[in-house]
Amino acid sequence: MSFRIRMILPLIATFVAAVGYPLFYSFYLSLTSYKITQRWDSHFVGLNQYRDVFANSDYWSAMKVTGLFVVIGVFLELSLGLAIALSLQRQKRFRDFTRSFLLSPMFITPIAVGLMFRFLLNQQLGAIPTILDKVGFSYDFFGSGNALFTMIMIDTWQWTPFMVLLILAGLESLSKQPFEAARVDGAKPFYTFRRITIPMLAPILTVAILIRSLDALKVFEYVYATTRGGPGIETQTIQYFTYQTGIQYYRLGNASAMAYLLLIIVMIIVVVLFKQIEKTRRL
Amino acid sequence: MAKVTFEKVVKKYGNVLAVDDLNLELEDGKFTVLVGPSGCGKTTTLRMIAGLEDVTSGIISIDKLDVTSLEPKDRDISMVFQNYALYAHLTVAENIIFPLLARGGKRVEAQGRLQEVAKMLNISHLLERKPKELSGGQQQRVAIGRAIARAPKVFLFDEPLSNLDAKLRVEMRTELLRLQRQLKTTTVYVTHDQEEAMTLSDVMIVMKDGKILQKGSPIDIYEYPNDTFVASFVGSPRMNLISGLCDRGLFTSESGIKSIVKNIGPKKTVLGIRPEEILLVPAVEADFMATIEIVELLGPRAIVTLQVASEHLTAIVNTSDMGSIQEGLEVGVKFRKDRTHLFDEKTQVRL
Repeated sequence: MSFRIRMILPLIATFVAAVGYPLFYSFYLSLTSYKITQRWDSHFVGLNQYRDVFANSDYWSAMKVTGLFVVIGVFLELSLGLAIALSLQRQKRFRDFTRSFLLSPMFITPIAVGLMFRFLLNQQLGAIPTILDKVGFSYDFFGSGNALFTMIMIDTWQWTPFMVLLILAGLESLSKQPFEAARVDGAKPFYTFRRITIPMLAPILTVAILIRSLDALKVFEYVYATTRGGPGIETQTIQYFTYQTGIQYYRLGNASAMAYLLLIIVMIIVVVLFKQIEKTRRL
Repeated sequence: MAKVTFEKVVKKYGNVLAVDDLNLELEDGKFTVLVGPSGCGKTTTLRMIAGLEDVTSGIISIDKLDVTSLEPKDRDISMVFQNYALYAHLTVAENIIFPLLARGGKRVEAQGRLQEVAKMLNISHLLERKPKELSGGQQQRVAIGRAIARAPKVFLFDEPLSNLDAKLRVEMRTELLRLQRQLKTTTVYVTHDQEEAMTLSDVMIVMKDGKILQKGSPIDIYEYPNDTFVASFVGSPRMNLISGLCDRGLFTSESGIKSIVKNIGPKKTVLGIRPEEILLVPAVEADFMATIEIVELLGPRAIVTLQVASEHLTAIVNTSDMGSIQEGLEVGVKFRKDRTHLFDEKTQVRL
């Protein structure tokens, strides 16, 4: 065995044990009727689990909830993040202070954020509904029709700072000269923003959207800490649904199939987005 | 076309004085070159005209309009930057018509102007390319194209040729000159290269430490430098400067260099002599003797370094006149009559 291969062997071994084995084992599970409660009765069922998932309307409604969560959430985070980054870039005094202050939500673990909002927004004893009530405005944050939006707001609250961080770094790495040229060329601020800032920032924005989308797709903690998927299945996201099927209802075979189906869909989206990044980079 | 005027303009960065009480009038339709060593305030001066740099105090006006507090876009200027500052994501065509569209022009109308400009600069075949796909010289043409697409009152150039290789620089220099003659727009050009300044300018302004040392036609500045700094900054190879004593028309240095000069003194002075005004002559006609240290052949001419005791002099000699000149030989030297410059040793100012 050559030296190079021997040096890389520990990494490969760790990788196989920590990633490869669970990956293949869960794939194997997805092809069986495995249930934790009936482990002795597990047998190979081929693609039956996948067929069941495809036919499961709850799976697709969880997919829709997740889709809405990701699209609206990331859109809000991107727009707010861009606006905040642009204003922070112009800030002259107390830069370090405002920056670290604005970034602080990012440093809290998501489950804590979920719990925090659960208490803050609770209809009976939450601070915010109480205050709203005092000014004559009644709003049930976790009520039917509102819960998903509340979930999106929590995600936006926590992750907009990440967008700010990424976009601000991008903005400050842009060469200043084209902006000076645009000033001399007579471009008004909005024209400069539309024709210079956004196109120059495009590669960074794409990466930011990609990272945040993949991250938002994994949303679980907020749901677990606040609504547990309710009211009804309004906030039942794909991760939460899979977790419920696999861990709470013990149907690991079925849950594995769900996870793999999600993996395939996500891979397709990632490939498409990466192609997009490649394209903007070549320009 | 317009006149640019500076009245008592001061620019400070914190405590550092970048431009110090500048009073200046840049003439209408002329090609003015600001030249000086780095950090002399020339680029700051240019950027103040553009409005990219605030003025600490004083007034700048373009065409009698006080523009001191106006935004760059309201000053009716256009600028070519040192690193071109092209819009990398836009095609050459889009880059050139950007100033027209940014000011609310119609795309259809801009097309006509685009074709004219492209033809003028010989870049018609590049219009659909992105800046990245162009060579440095081509990028610079595009930057110039963008500047002339509109007909502004003033063109500003910030060391536009300094990123090009030597051959291309000379070509673009000629082209710029031709363009400016054709457009007759007031032009302000910044460079640290005295040769570029000499060849391009109608009016040349030498700056140092935020102050103007001399303003005039290139030939005037070359022939009558105000002080030793200008004298040695302008011209290549640089002017020889020799310290010595001037006594009633005779200059003598410690190393033994002698020359008949203006009837001044007795006074400690610096004598300046351009390399091409040093004559190598037979010993009988010579004012003093020197040893030939190095001969650098340039083709039709040669740079000859002479040694006189501890002093070195640079002379330029026509190759055809060189005869038996070779390194190590002792020759007679004489300065051409009335071509010497005298400066006060203390103030370094022309006498």
